[in-house]
Amino acid sequence: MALLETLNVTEELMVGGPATFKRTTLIRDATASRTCTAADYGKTICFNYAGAVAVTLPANGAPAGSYIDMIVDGANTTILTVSAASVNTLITFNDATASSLAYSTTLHRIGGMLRFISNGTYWVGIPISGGLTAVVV
Amino acid sequence: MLVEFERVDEEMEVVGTLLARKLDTLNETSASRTITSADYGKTIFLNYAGAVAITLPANGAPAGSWFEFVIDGTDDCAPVFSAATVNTLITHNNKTTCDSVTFGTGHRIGSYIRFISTGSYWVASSLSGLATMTVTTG
Repeated sequence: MALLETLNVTEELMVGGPATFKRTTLIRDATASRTCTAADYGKTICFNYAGAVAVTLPANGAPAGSYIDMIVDGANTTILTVSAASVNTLITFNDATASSLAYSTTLHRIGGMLRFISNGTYWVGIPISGGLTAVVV
Repeated sequence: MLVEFERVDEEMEVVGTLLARKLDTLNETSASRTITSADYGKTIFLNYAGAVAITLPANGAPAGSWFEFVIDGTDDCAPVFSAATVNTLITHNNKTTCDSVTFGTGHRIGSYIRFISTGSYWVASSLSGLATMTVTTG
């Protein structure tokens, strides 16, 4: 097996057998706002600002399969709201024309996890952590 | 090393971080699909406006084989994910009598479900925090 320090695949990587990835690429954001860009695709962003955090997704039309994960790892004062760049275009739980997802309910913030996947036209917002961390559409 | 395409036939281990910018996706617009090994590792968008019959591959796929679905259609898009063999799908609180899983009305748009093979059977896990997955038993 080849041993490489870095491998940059510009188009496609296909692994026929098991693929073991020890770590994800993680960003910690301690600010009150973030506008996501293509540079964030494939990354996990942890938010920990003690207050309202306004996050804006990239414009619609990102390549299909582009995705961004977001986690609240701050305190209960970290109030994350993630908005589509264009209103009424976010596809999410039982709503094909939503504008944002928010952990606005107190005690439902820490540990919340969202995944956003582009279908090539719009972003699909998926609250992965449910039940104990209710997200508001 | 900079390459355009890379194919690893057996196993790849990344000790540091992996940055995969995109998931490998398919857009399924029809009313049925039988999943094959060619679909392993892929994220499949479902948006047919009606019942969608999804049949999983036969049991015994290599352990760790996986695929997943995102419903990006309307609430009319009603997929039913069925095991190739009844009573063999492992899912929420059921290991012996599950034939299929689905999402009822009001729980479809934006739902996200992943199937992983144990090497013997398929496990269906809803990754939708808010949507309720419905289990059909034999």
